[in-house]
This record gives sequence, C-alpha cells and structure tokens, in this order.
Amino acid sequence: MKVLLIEDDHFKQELVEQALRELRPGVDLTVGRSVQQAVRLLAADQYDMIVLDISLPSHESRPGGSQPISQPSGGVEVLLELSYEGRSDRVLIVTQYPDIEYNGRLYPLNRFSQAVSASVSVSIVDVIYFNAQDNAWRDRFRKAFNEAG
Amino acid sequence: MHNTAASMLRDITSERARNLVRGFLSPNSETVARRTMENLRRECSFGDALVAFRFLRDSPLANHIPKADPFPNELSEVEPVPFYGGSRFEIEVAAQAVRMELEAERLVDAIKLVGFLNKAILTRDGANVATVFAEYRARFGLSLMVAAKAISLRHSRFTGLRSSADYSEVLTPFLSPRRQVVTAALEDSIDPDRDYVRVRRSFLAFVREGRLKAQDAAIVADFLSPLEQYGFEADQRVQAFGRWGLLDTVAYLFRLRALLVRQGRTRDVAAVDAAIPAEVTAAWRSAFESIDLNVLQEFVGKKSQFFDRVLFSHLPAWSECPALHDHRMRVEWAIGPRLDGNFPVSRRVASTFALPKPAVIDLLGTGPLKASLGDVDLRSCGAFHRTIALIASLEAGAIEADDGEQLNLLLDQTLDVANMLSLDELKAFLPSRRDDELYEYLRAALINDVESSKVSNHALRRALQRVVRERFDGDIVKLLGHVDSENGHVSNHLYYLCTESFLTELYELYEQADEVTEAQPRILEWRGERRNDADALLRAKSHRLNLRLRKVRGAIEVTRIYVDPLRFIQWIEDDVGGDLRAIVSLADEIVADPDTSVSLRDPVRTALQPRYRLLKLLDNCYSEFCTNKIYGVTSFIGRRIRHGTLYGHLVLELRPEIDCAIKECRASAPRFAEFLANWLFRFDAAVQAMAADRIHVRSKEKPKGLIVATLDDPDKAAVAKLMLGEVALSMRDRSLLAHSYSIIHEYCWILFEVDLKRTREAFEVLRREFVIGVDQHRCTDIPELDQRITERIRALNSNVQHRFDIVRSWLTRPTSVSPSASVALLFEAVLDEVRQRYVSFKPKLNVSGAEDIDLIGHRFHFFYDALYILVDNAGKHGEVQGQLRVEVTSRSAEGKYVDLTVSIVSDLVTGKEDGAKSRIEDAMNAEIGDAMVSHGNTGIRKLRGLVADVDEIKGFKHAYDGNAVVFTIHMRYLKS
Repeated sequence: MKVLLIEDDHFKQELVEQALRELRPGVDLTVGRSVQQAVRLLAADQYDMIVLDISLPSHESRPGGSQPISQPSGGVEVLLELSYEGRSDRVLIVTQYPDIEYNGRLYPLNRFSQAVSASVSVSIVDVIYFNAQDNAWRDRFRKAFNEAG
Repeated sequence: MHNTAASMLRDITSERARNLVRGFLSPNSETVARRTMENLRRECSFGDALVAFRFLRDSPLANHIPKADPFPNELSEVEPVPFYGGSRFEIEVAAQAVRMELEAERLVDAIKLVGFLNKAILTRDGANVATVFAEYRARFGLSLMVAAKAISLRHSRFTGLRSSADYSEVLTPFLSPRRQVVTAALEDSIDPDRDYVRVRRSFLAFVREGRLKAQDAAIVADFLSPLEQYGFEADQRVQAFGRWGLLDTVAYLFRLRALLVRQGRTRDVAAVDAAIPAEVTAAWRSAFESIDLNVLQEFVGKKSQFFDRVLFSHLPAWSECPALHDHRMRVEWAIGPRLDGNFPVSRRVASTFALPKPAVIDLLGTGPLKASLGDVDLRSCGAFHRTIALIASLEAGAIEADDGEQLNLLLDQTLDVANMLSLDELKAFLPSRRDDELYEYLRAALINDVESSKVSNHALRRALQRVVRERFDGDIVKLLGHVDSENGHVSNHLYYLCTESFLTELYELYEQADEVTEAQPRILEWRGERRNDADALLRAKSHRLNLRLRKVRGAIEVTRIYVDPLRFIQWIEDDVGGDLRAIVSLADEIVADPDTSVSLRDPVRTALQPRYRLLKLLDNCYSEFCTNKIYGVTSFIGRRIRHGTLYGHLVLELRPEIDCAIKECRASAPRFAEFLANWLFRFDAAVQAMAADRIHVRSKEKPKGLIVATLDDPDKAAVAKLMLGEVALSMRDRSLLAHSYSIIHEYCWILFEVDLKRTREAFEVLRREFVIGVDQHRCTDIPELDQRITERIRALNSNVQHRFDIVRSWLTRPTSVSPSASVALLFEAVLDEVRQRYVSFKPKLNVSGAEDIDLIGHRFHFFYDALYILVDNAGKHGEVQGQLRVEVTSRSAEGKYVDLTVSIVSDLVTGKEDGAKSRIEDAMNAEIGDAMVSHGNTGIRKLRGLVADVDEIKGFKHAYDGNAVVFTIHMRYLKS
C-alpha cells in the first residue's frame, strides 16, 4: 500500500507512522513536511491513501534562510491539487485543531468534508481530531484504513 | 377664515380636497398634518392641486407650514422641508409648477449665471470662475447643480485652474460640519482616486438597504443610476428635487423630460412642459445647448485610455447639456444594471450603444484616442466604450479571442471586464484552452476576480505558474514585462496580485521560502523603475537589506509575538494605500474635525465623512495586524502559544509533580489525593478551554475571544483617537505615505497592548481560580501530615504562579517593533556583499566603539547605503589586504536626539596614494548634480547626495591619516 503522510510535527508524525505500521506493516510510506513538498510529491506519484495534516508551513525551514510561512489551512492545497488534476487518491485528514478554515469560514471537523465537497471533487475518507492524550484518534484511524481496504 | 383665503378655497372643485386643505391648515400634530397632505396629494385632481398648492404657498394661514425655499441659503433651510414619499406624477409636477410661476425671472437669472459659469470653467478662466461662484452664492444661495460644477472642477486635470478658481463658497456648506450625502456620492463617484464602480455600488447599496433618508436616497439613486428605479418613481424624484432650490428642481425636470420623451410618455412630457415657465425653458436652452464635448473632455482629462470613463463619471455635473445627457442615458440604458452590479442583467441591450463585433480583433483600437458622443469608433475610442462594445458582442452571441496575446491586448484596452460580466457570461466568452498558457492565465485571473474562492484562486495560481514556467523561464518579472504596455492594465493587475501570500503559494515556481523572498524585491524594483514609483523602490530596498541581514544573522529571531513590519507595511501599501491616498487631500479637514467618536457602526457615516473613512481604514489595518494568517499577532499566538505550548507548559509539565503528590498522599491523606486528582482534571479542562475559546480574535465562532480586532472597542477609544490624529497629521504634512504607514504600524502595537492586557488579566483570573487553600486540607489530628500537605500546597501554588507568570510574559509586546540592526551587523552585511564583488578583498578588520548600537526603522537603510559606498570603494580602490577600521561613537544630544558618528578608515594602495587622493578630492568637491541616479563613479558623490537629501544624515567629511583615508559620517536622529 502506497501512503503519503504530510505532517510537519515530528511527535505527531511518529505516532501516526507507528499506528500506520501496526495496521499495514509493509506500507510504502513517503513523508512530506510542508505544503510545497506535498505539492511536489503529489505531482511525482499517486497514492492509495494520503494522511494529511491541515496546518502546515509553506516550505521547509532552512537555517539562515527565509522563514517559511505558516499556512493554517495549508493542507487544503492538497485537496485542491487532487481535484484540479481529477485524481481519486483517498485522503484521511488528521489534525490537532477543532476546526478548518475554508473560503473564509471555520468549519468544525465533522462538517468540513461536506463543506469542501460542494466545490472540490476529492475523496475524503475521514477527518480525525488528533489528541495525543487519548486513543480515540487511533480507533478512527484504524477504522478508516480498514474500510479503505 | 380670511375672505381671500375662503374665495381661493372655493376654487377647489372637490369638497373632499377643500376639507383636506382646511385640515392641513389646522395646527395638528405633525403626524396628522403629514397624513392629511399625503391624502391631498393622492386624492385631488391636477386642477385642484394647482389651486391648493397656490393657496398653501400664498395664504398667511399656511405660514406655519415648512415650504421649500425657491433659493435656499443654507442646508438648514432644506432639511426641515417635509418629504411625503410621492403621490401621482401630475400632482408633484403641479406642486413644482406653482413653486416656479412666481420666481421665473429670478430663476432665469440663475440659469444665465450658471451658463456664464460653464463658459468660465471650460475656458479655464480661473478668476472669472471664482467671481461667478461667489456671485451665485450671494444671489441665489445653495444649489446641488452648482456644487456639482465645483466638484467636477475640483477633480479636473487643470491643477492651476483648481487653485486659482475658488469654489469653496458653493461647496463648503455641503462639506462642513458634515459631508452631505448627495454631494458626497457625487464627489466620490467623480474622484479619480476612487473606484467608480465600487463607489456607485456602495451608495446604491445604502439606497437599497434603506440606510439613507428617502429624500436623499431618491436623489442619490437618480444621480448614480438614473434609469433604475431603486424604489423611487418619477413622482417621488420630482418631490425630492423639489425640496431643493428651483435651479435643482428645474434641472431635474429637464432631465426627466428627456427620459419621458425616450419612453414615449407624451402626456407626461406635456405636463412637464406646462409646469416650466416658457422664459425658463428659453433661458435653459440658450445657456446650455452648446457645450463642446472636446472642451469638456480636455477639462476632465483625455490622456489616459480611461478618458471616456472619467468623462462619464463627470457627466452628472454637466447633465444640463442635452447632448452630454443623452450620451449618458445611452450608456446607462446599455449597461446601467451591470455598473450597478445587478446580475443576471435585466436587459441585454449594450448593442444600442456600440455595435457588436464577431471577433476580438475587430474590437481592438488602432488609432490615437479621440472623444466622441456619437457612434463608438473602435479604432479610437477609450477603454470604457470598448468595454461596452465587448459586452454588446458577448450579448449578441459567440465571440472568441484568437489566442492569449490577443486577449491580453483586449484586456489592456478595456476595463472592469470582471465587474461587468456574470460568471456564466465570462465562461461562455472564454472557454478553456489548455494549449495556450497565456490565455489560460488571463482567463483564470478574470474568473478569480468574479468568483474569488479557494478553487478559483488555486486555478489562477496553477495557470500563472504554467505560463511563467513554460514561456518565461520561470521568471514572473519577465511575464510582467511581457504583458506590460503603455496602458499597463494587465501588468498592474498582475503586480497587485503578487502579494507575499500569493507568491508563497506558487509552490511549483518557488521551491524554497528564499525564492519567494527574492521574488518580492525584484517585482518591486520592476514596478519602481517602470512606473517611476519611489515607494516601490524603497520597499524593494528594504526587502533586499532584510535578506542580507537575515543571511548574516543566520537564525530566525525568537520572539513569541511579532509582526514582521515589512510584511505588514507591504500589506498596508497594497490593500489600503490607494484608499489612503484618496483622502490625503481631506487630511486638513480630518485634523480640524472636532468629532471624537471612534464608533464605526454607522456604515453611511463611515462612507461619507473623511474622519470616519480614515478611521475605517485604520480599523482595517488593525484587523489585519491581528488576524493576518501569515504574520498577524494571533497567528503567532496560535502557533507558538495556543497550539501545544500553552497546554504543555501549564498542564503536561505540571502533571508529574501532581502525580507524585497524589501517590505520596494516597494512603496517608486519601481525601487530599482525590482533591488533587480532581483539581488536575478541572485545571486541564480549564487550560484547554482557554486555548480553544479565549486566546482568539473575538468572532461569531469564538464569542469569548479576548482579542478584539477593531478600533471600535471602548477600551481602545483613547488610543484610536490619538492614532487617527497622528496619521491625519502625517498625511497632511509629509509627501510620502511611508511615514504614515510607520505610524500606523506603531499604533497597532499600542492598540494591541489593550488586548494583551485583557488576555493577561484573563490568565490571572484563571490562576486565582486554581489557587489551593491551605486551611481546607488540614488533618488536625496529625500535625506532621498537615505540615507536609501545607508545604506541598505552597510549592504547588508557587509553581503554578511561576508558570502563569511565564505565560503572561509571552503575552507582552516585543521591546522593538520596528526593523532594526546594529552598526556591527550592518557592517558585516556590507562586507559580505562587497567581498562577493571583490574576491581578493581580505582586509584586516577592526570594529570598535559603540558598535552594538541599534539603528531602528527606516534610517538604517540610509546608513547601509552610506556604509556600502565606502566599503565598496575600499574593496575597489584600496589596499585589498590593508586595514579596514570602523569606529563608532554615540552620545545623547539636546535630550531627545542621538548623535552617531561612524568613521571608516581604509588603507590606500601603496604607491598609488596620490591618484587615489586626487580622485577622492575630485569626488568630494564636484557638483552633486545627478549623483543619485548616475552609476559608474566612486559613489562618493552619491553619498554626498544622501547627506543633502536625508534629514538624519547631518554630515560627511574626509581626512587622511598616513596612507589611509578616513571618512566620517555623522547622523542625528530622535531617540526611540
């Protein structure tokens, strides 16, 4: 299974990656840490599942370089790219925020998928609230992968 | 009742009408009088109306009823005149006929005087214009029509005429103490610094939403969109204009007559003709029949390709001329609903103004621009008429652009295409063509202008990146150059599109954040050079220097709350600069305005009054300062405090201590252990709630947010007033707006301190809520245990307090909010750059004195330039491995200044000292002349130019010390 993980937080990345390897030990995993990398990796390949954080830096940080810009809804760029290219890669959103901004409005996670699908054609499997303190996200993460086959 | 009055009343044939007049005369309440007059207007015949209105005009019994003065002197005489909301057309015309019949002679004189005024204005006879304005005011009082002339003059292209022709007498009553809404709508729609379509739509929205008094709304609607109803039929408009002086009434009646003729309403035309005295009609025709279009076009300006739209916006001030009015009505009929933004359009008749064409090539201009009122000549017409021709062609059916280059030409020669078409019309006009990158980019840009969504913005970015990559070597500046033309319409659009946030999201084009940062100054430099835009060049310089300093610093500054001044000021320039420039001329008025309110709740007042217009712009700035997703303060709070850090610092790092205490007390003091577990549970939830609900900008979604991103906040009123005053003063006194931008930036921090204080207080309240009382947990029978618990509680309270102190320290303003750099850092950045030019330049460095002194704000750019010139000279002409010494001294002067002296000492090349000294002497003694723009010399002349031009650089001298040259720069600036 080919999975693209877009995540800038190392701690969260480790936990998500661990959960993923438990579910799919032979997973072919690629990791991107910024919106720019996500766009580049999408152009390079297709994926069975994209595990997507929403709040991301615009670019990778370099010492002494210009500071990348934080994009609170940067992950939405991935959805727009997929829709623009007419691709059907499945997307599982895993975020630490309770809401996501789209077209100037904040949507609670349980309503985001519906809101975005009015204007974007993209296959969102689930939108999960990540809280390292409890395991609820793991259950939904597992369920999403199991249902995806 | 008086006998004459009784006999007059008897001439009213209807008894009901007679009784209504009698009822109206009785001293009833205002409501009853109003209802009676409405009934009279609704029920009586035309003949009875004439008698009744004459009676009300002449009878002493009706003296107590407020009536419209034929020639009012002040606005206060117009305002009390009742507006009944109309009745029937012929009744309202009868009312005006009665007003005019006794004043025809005076009205004729007024008309003749306005005829002279027109001639004086159009022949640019400033002295005569001033005389006629003053004479009109003295003899005939106030008039909307005459005020409109003054407004047209105020925005004409003849600055000499504007200053010599004093029009204040006729305009001031409409501006002071408050802008009157009708003249404000007129002025804003004519003002070339304001977007005509936006102004028109804003005022019409006020009309539509019932935000204006009906009598004003009827006139505003008529001036801006004369063919659309907006709830006001002709009878209401007659009555609304009838509240003003007779000149304005008759001006409207002539416009109305033209409309009625066009509509074939012959009976109504006859009623208007009968209402206007014959001598008035004759005088009107004689005075206004022959205004020369070319002269008027010359007056309003004809150089720009938008000359026809400029003329169109002035036409309400010249509507007495039948040919000009007819021209305006033809445009209004053709595209009025589109100008108003009423989509889908109710009529598709643009072809009545300009003939449709089958292909874009037929729409393009070829010859020199020429004004015309007749058929549109596409070879020479301006962008406005060409846009109407484009609309006519689209309404007529399929029309296509051959390719992107042709579309680019078309967009360059038209205007507001995205505003004038619906999305469906646009998509039908421009079907997708994947094989033409430029076409796709222009198409996506137009769609994004209409739609403005994430999807359209993404599509635009994709299209733009594709054309830049595939046709312009990945260089956006090359595309800017390619789409640029004499008009600069398309390139301006692209320039304004390329904000930092937009460039950041061009992920295919810019793989690193550095590339985005590099693209910005290049775009600004292009703009600066191409458009001679000094502000753009200055900002480019700031960006470049910032980049260099960042490389030298080598690390990102770690401040918890920070707003990048460059980014914020760039935003002000891009998003607010145009509107600020538009009110620079009103700065005097704002400074003098005695009003002190900072409430923005009345949108009409905010649109009309200069003080509130500025306040609204400052409010936009503060909102952006707080909420910008990239550099706004709350984005920093979100990233660095709210998200994870706060919870980690207050809860996660505290948890081990609590867990340890629970474990320790579980057996000996189980109730205390249970209390602690509950305490931690509640504290955890409270901190999470603080992060989730409170450390946010207050909004519908976050009503408990502690940051109120507006000036309209009682806690900020005092600061907001000061801010407004200082910004207005700076706009009045300084030629460059850059100074005002700096003031806005600094005040945003002072405003934000109010929100920070509120947030810090909320944290203090939270802390107090979780202070654990020592007495509550004493187990009186075991003193040792009590002692241990007491110590534990004290330690815990102290730890919690310490943690909250740290959180509060995060919520403080950084010590320096302006861009700053130390002399040493600037020197290092200069040296780094010079070494790249002269690789063998390896001087022996020695920096001494007050090298750590920080230069703050814009002054360090000047100092950088000066330093660069001197070090570059050392690299180019000096001893490459000689000494390079920098000595810095700083001292306080006159209490409020800092005197900074920097000496740069460099060795001259051994054996060539005489030549070098001679060159230096020549440069130090030569005329400065064009030093600031010429290149290729030592740069010392340029540095002397800086000393002359930049206030803060006070002196520049040189001396020799053995075979070394010593240059000394002296700066004096205000202490920060």
